[in-house]
Amino acid sequence: MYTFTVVRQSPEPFFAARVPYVVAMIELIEGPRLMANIVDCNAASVHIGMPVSVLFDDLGDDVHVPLFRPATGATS
Amino acid sequence: MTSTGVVIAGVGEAEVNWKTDLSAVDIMAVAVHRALADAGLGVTDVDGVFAISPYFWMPSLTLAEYLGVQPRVSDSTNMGGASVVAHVGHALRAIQAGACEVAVIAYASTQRSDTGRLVTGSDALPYERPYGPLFPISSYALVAQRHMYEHGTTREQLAQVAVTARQWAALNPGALKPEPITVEEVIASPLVSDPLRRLDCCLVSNGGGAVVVTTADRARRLPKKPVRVLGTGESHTHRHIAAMRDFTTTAATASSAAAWEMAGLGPRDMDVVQVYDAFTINTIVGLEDLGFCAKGDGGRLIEAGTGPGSKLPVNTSGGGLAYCHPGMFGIFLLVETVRQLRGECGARQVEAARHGVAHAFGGVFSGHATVVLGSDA
Repeated sequence: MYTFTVVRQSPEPFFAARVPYVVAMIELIEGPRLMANIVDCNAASVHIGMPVSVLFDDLGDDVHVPLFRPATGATS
Repeated sequence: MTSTGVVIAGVGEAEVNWKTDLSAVDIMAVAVHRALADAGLGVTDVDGVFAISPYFWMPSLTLAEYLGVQPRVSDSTNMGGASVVAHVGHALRAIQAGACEVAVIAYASTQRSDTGRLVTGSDALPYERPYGPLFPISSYALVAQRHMYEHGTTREQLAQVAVTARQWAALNPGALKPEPITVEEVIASPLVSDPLRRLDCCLVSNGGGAVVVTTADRARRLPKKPVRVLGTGESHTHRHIAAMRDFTTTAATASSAAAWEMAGLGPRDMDVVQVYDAFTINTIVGLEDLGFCAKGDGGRLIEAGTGPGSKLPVNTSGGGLAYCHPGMFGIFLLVETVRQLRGECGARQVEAARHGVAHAFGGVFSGHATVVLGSDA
């Protein structure tokens, strides 16, 4: 994880129902960075440099997106 | 120091408030007329129109139509909050080329009265949209978080930016938030997008402003002391935050380097500094990237003091955090720099201010424009 923020409010009902949620910039091992949410973790435990692994989720409305969660068995 | 032969001859503001019955183009026009009156010119002198506003698809056309001006040069370049500061460079080159002689640059928004929120036509990046970052604060929060991680910038240093802004605002009779606040109060204000809190955010107000740019020759026949445009620069590395290359260094390095080189001056020559403070992190990153300190030392520079009476007076109007913030603050950076260099700032006047720099960010640390201004001793 390159950097992150925890979103605490949103004017949009879809996101307001999900606060607080983590928006992060993920640096892939291959080099590029992308934005994604970090899921399956407590927002308070998220920190820069933590290893994460990808999963693909169905957000509804036929939107399938890559998300990330704390990597299991990885060393930071 | 070389002369560009181009000056700012007049400045004006209008409807800097919480409630207005005017429209955004009304406000731009009032500000333009005030700036022209300040310069000792009239609307029939205008042959260059530069404007930006989130309310209009073609802002310079809308403004020129309203003013009754058929310009020889028209420019609606949109670099977000950096637009009007970039327009100074565009106007300078147009005037130097002889394409126009009297240019007006204007901005206005009535966002407070219309919605109480930021009014923007900003488009979302499809690769950010599904993840729900708040526009624009989450982008600045991602930078703040990384800056704290890489450089040890503290929550207290961020808060001090807001505290100092209020100290300046207390000296500005037009400021919308002159009440003092403490570092503790900033840190206790509600989180919006970590690590940024409510009091790290600029105000949501109405307002507009305008400046008049013309030749030094023309200004010689005008009543007020002109302020010389000494250097200009603009740049960008990205539009959306996910495409930013280095989250702690912005294209302000490039825009300011160009402006310093053109002016033949540097940070140490500046008596007064305006850096667009949409959020507290902006002032810290801006001071670093303009060269007022090494990368990573911005928080310590803020701690050392940038308020009234300090050696480095920054955002002397109170800035976007405490003076006003009608969506884009760029025009107010220019107006304040000109007024400081003319000695018109009353209780907040920086003594013997001869050189000043205005730097604006647009988008999400995206658009950058720097202007160096100077007055004759």
